[in-house]
Amino acid sequence: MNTDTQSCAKTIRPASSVIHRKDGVIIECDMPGVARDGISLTVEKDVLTIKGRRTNAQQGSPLHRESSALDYARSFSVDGSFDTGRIQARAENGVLRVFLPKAEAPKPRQIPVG
Amino acid sequence: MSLLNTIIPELNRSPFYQLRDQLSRLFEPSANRAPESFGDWLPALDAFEDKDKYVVSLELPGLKKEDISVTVQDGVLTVSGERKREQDVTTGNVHRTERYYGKFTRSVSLPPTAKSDKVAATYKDGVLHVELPKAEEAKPKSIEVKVS
Repeated sequence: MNTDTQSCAKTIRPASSVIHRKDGVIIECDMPGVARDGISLTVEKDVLTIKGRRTNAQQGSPLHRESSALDYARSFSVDGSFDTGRIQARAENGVLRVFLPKAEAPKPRQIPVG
Repeated sequence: MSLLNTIIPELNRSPFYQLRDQLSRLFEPSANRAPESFGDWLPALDAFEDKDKYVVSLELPGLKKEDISVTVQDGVLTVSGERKREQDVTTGNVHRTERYYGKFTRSVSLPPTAKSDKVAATYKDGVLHVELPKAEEAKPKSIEVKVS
């Protein structure tokens, strides 16, 4: 699986981990400041796109700033070996966890001879 | 490297060597680190103020509430904790990771007008917010002095 490093000045790429398991791949993205309803996941033409909109409003006038105010966006290319119809996603404490299950290989079928 | 320097001392004057020395100094552990921060990672810290409070927020994705400690001592707010790796990350085959794990500590000096005894902290969506109300007496006052 390749990560598509689409650059867009209006967003930042969330720090991510890609973990391979026997049954699929887990992608974890750090998106602090994004609530569950601020996350969107789309699959289009074998590209999984993750977007996160920040919901933490600025609280007063800034004295010191290290975090980015930009929203998050990142794309991953997903080849045909994954079942994109069964993707699962869960968000907790600013971390989005996406599970991409591997597509089941077509089982050998016995054809009876009549 | 000191051996190399004694054998070919003229290399020391080359700008490439100077650059190498500067780079190695940059990556030396802990020696040049800012005194107010240490640990395995440095979470982003923001500070805001409005008319009645100060807010210090830190980006701490993937932590548990009980793994975060917030203390105020001698006018210094310290947030420390540890981000533990999830089980899948330790047992699975990690293809790539860009995320930070481990211990962190960040401290900020509080202005004298912050009421540190009224500090309140909340952790939501991977961001810790620490609120410190401003003292009423922080507003400028004029003091009358009798001249005798």
